[in-house]
Amino acid sequence: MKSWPARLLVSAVCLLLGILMVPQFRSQPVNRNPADQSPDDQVSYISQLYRSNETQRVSLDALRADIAKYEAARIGGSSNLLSLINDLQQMKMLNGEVDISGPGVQVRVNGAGDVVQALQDLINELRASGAEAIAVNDVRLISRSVVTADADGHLLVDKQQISPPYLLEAIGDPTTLNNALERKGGLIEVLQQQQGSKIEIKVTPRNDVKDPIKLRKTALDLKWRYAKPTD
Amino acid sequence: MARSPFSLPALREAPPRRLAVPSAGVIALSTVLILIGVLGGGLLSLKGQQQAGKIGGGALRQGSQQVVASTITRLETEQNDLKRELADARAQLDQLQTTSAQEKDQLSDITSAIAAERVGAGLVPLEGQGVIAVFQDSSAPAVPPNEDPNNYILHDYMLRDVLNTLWAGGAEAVSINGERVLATTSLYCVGTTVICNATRLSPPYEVHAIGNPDALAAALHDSPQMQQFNLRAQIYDLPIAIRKEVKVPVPAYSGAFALKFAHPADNSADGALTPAPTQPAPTPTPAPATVTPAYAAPTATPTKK
Repeated sequence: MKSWPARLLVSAVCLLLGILMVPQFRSQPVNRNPADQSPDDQVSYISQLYRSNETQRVSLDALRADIAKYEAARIGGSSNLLSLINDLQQMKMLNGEVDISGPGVQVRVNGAGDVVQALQDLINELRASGAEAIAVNDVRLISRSVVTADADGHLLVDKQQISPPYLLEAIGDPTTLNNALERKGGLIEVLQQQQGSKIEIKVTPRNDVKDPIKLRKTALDLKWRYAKPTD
Repeated sequence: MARSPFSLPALREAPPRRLAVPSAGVIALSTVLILIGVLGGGLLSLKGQQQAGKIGGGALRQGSQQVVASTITRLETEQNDLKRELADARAQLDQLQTTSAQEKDQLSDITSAIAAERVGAGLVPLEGQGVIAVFQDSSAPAVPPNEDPNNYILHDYMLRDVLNTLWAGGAEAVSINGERVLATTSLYCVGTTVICNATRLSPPYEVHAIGNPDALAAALHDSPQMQQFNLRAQIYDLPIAIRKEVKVPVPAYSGAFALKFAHPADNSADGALTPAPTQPAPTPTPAPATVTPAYAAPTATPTKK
């Protein structure tokens, strides 16, 4: 070992040998276990699982956010829908387009007097006293309805002929409706003063929840040939 | 040929001369150098492996196989759970989207149904061909002595005759002094004013009616229901002006609706109302109801309210 370069060379070779030998020593016991043959595969499988689980969690979160949005809208929408259905039902009741029932009064009118006038006045009086719906001989009255008589004196309601005895049925507060008609100086007294024994009017309050007044819906279909909604 | 360290002249030339008698110093030095080399190499190699271990391999080789197995099991279970949850969430969202679409359809059906009902209920202002009729109290300068002043003013029943005449004449919509006439509207006198839709009206009474203008005007002039009104108007100078118009405005009802007593009838099974009966055949009435007007002859004092 005279020259330094040679010594250095030997050292470098030894260093290299050392480096090469150590993995040999270290890896020998690992290789003896067959269950551990492909740790790299296991590592990549685990990281794959991590990645795909993460991706799924992200899309699950997105889906759940969508669901929450739909459900919030649905709760609003459903209550909106319910209140609209209720509105529609109320409108149809007002417009006489559904069968309805409730307490009220029945008014029987009979005789040879001016029944048309008596019925018109009774209808007006019942409306003024808060009647919510009225029918004459089972014909439901709507805004356009009118009781008239034809040339032969037959009574018509909405162009349908009705025959005596005449029966007015009104849904509303039975006491209020009854008192409005029967009170001193009330319409029945006035009509009887005017027409005397020629007309017979009898009012019956109907307050039994189990046996309410039932009014059938109108048979009329409103046509609008002249009227248009204002712009 | 690449120049490798083994092809250096120093290595080829030196050994034949010196191998025979290596000095003790040289042996010791070589031993030390080999040791340093092995230790240094070992350290370097170890360090490299520790770095690899940080990525996974080294630690796994050293670490327990149980940890690896349980990690894999845990992640697989998690994956299965996630897949199931995803499938459930997709199904739920699907259902919600379908329901939402159905509800939107339903909503638009109901909205348009309500719009149609609002027209019928008088909640929409209307216009169209028709008549405008104006009725006033007597234009006579003074009520003559011994005459009933009631004959010189308009009464609720007279206005009711007007409304009934218009409906019978085919009116589609009617208003009086801006108050829409509805199915629940009544007209009654309180003092010298008329109450309509809980609103006090006073003369002149301007009635708007949409419908066939000729038919409506003819009905107001000639119908039996108007006979007494027209007669009284002539006698007591009650001005009536009827004009046909191309565009008659009828305002919307502005009050409230309250149905407190009426309910939709229970139409389930036995509670159902029977279908509307066919109208009974005209019965010959021995004493038919007369078509005579609502009130007594004009000269008589009206006995009504």
